[in-house]
Amino acid sequence: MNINQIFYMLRRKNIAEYILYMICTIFSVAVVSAYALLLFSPTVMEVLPVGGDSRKQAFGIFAVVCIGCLAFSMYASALFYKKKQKELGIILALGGNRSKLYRTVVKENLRMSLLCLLVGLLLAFPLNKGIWGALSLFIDSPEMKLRVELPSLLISVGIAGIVLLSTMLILRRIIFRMDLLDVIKAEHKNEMVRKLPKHTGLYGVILILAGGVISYLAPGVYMDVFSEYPPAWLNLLYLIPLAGVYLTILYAVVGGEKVEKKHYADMISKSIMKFQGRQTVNCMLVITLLIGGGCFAAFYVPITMTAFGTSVQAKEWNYQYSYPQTRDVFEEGQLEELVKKYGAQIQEEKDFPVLLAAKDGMQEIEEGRKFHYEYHPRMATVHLIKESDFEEFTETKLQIKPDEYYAITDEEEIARFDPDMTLFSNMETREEYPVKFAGCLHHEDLVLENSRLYLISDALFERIDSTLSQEWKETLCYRKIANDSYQLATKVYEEFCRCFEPQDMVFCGYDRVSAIVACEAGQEYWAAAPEFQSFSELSPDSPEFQREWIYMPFFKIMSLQGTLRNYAVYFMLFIYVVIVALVSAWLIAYTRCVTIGMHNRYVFEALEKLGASTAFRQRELRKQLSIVYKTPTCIGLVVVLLLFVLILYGNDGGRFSKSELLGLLICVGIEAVIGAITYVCYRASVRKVSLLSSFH
Amino acid sequence: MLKVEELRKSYLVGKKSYEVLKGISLEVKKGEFVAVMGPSGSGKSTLLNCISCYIGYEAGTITLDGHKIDTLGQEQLAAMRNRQMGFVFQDFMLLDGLTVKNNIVLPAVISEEKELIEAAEQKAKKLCETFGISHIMDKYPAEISGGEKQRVAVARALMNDPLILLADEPTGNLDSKSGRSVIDAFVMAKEKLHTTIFMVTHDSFAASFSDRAILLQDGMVFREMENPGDRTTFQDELLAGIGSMNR
Repeated sequence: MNINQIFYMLRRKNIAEYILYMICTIFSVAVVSAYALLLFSPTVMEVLPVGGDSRKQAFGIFAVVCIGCLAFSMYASALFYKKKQKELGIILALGGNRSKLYRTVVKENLRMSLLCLLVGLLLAFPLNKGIWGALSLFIDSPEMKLRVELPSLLISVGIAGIVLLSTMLILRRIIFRMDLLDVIKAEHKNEMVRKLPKHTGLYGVILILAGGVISYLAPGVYMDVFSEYPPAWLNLLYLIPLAGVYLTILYAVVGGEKVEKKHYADMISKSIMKFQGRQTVNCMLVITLLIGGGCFAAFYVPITMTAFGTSVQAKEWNYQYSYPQTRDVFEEGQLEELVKKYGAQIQEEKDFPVLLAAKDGMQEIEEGRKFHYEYHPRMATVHLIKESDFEEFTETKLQIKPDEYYAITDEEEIARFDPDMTLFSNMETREEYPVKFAGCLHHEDLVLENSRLYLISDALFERIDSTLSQEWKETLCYRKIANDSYQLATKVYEEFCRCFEPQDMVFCGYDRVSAIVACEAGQEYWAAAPEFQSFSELSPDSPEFQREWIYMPFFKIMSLQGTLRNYAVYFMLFIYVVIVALVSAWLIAYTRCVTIGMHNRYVFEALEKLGASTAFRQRELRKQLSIVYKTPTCIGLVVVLLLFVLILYGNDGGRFSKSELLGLLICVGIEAVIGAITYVCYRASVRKVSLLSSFH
Repeated sequence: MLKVEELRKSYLVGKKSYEVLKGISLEVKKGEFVAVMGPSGSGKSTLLNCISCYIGYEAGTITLDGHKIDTLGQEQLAAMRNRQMGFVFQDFMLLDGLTVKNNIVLPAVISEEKELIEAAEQKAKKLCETFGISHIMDKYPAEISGGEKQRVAVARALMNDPLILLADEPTGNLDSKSGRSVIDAFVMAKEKLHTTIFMVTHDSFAASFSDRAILLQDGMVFREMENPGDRTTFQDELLAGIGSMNR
């Protein structure tokens, strides 16, 4: 017999612990690998523009997932070897050589880790394919491509290597720094938390709520008061709600100083928790953050998708496009012929002119972090349509005075508009027209993606129109096409793009009025910088072009498909964060419960000797284990939901739109699912600890 | 066999240093069964931990079979713990994943010496017979009683024929019947295998089986008492000795 055989026997006997450890490592490798495969797939790379915020965000999320998986693996390793510490300690106490023991354990771990790496990598493919396939059921787009790229494989192997290295370091620390006396006397070690003041729990909740609101509002208040962008240190305010979470958890674990009516009822469970205090509180804080982080990621897609879904569905005209009157878009009968070719029919059509003028306003001038506002009579471009066209399009009757304008927005006024304009200008004659805001008119179809339409009287429209060349005029077209198809939409889009000249391929951030004003002032216009010029080189099929082209048409079926694809990508990116965060939280809670149960076996034995019934002991056990699950889950779920409520409420100037309420309802549903799974984990923990404590 | 001279050991609690062993000197002869007794905080466990090389000490020397242990490196210390010392702990410290037989052969396996390993199985059987645990050889620690566990620990401690068996409160976690069976195992080891035993205990009954008892108080040797030959008398004397110590 040799030491390897001894390890084999120990492995066989503790197979459940080995399997749990290996599952954790496989899970980490599989999640990181699947995420890497996804991130480097052609579709995701196309959806996320090079150098764009969304790509940075996606890589940021990937980094978070990697760090999360690494932390998770290291936690699993530390826990696994902490359990094995007694075995290793006994071998050392009996005269085992530390270096030889280290080599033996490393060899064993290396074999396990390589197996985990292989299985994790292999599992990543079906995992990715599964999620991709599930989404393909809803999104039937030929552009959805999944391909294995070399960087993703290298990253997976790299992450597995780091997991392996970190495990070696943990092992080294355990074996070479192990104090044998700690192992021998381990059963009797406690880490008690001192008594807390009476209202600690209440203070914690107040800090969470008040700190959350303060840290959310602080940047805005700072900008209003100091006319300066908020400094990074202002983010430290988020430590206030974090401190609140800590205090609340601490209170839940050890309770306050007060002697309440229920004191005797909770005496045993509270005392037990108190003696495991520090580690339990730390674990619960981590669980809270993980559940909160998981929820945050899970809420992103439903909240953004509901807003998009309702706005698109509300549009009655399925084809809308605009073009400069200097271009010939669709020759006579060209569109009709195309539509016919694809078995569709144009049922209704409406075209009307749009004038491009300059509007006045307060322009933000930045000087380093400081900023101030300056009035400009010609600040940006405004798109104007006339009263009679609106009346014909919407079949309504209006009475607009010559010096008034209306903003056209959606039913819930989510689409932003400018109510502060006082002057329109003709950019060719520089003639000025004083105006005042008369109110909003609601029409979903007249809400354009990249510009806002304003309505003026026919008289004012004619005055501006008569002195304006075609350079400053556009035509806005609406079509209702029956039997529409994605193929037709892409073909129409292709033909539409063909009608434009290279100089028309500019991104929506480019404003003609601002460019002219900057040029006249001898300044360089920011959107004319070389990095923005490359936009014209993009393919019209690229998601970045379709997202930001100034003349991007709205073809309902194409827009739905394209946006769904984009959301699918975001969904896939976020789903991994959700999985990693929540699974880690549940596993940490489960192992913490098992540790508490194992450490307190003697308490339950003593209770049994004192004549406590199984039901009584079960109740005491449930009471203490429920704290580990209940408190972090409640705090995590409630705080993140409140945060989203605050964000959505603040976004629209202190109100909720229908789509936001729908989104929040979906979030509550997600929370219910998370809560239900957490309850299942809690029941599993109670069962496991009951078995360990021989309750049955 | 074992010689402790002027041993001093302090613990740092916060910024304060507490001297636990204040220059202890003692000697254990080959084949002798020595019990160390004393009230809590007298330094008996610290003394045992110093001899076992689990903790270091500030001054003094410990010599085992003529070799000073404080001059040994980590690897030599490990080898000495494995070959020349046998340990019996209060909490048994058996590996739950190994059967009784495999727990007993563990020190031989750790030694990596071919002869010891080859003879280990036979030796384990013999030790089990000696201590009356042959019937549980294939069982796991979770399936046997506390007394049996401690007898398995004694058998394991004797696997490599150590020069000395060091026991820390071996009956501390046991009821009187199981405690008696463990002490019987110690006596048997001394008589049949001529084992030298150094046992730290609170239990005057267990100590009354020893040849000699060393009473510690406040980190110093208070008194040494020889067994007069009659166990009951010796136990009474020990109780009286401890009583006088508290006055």
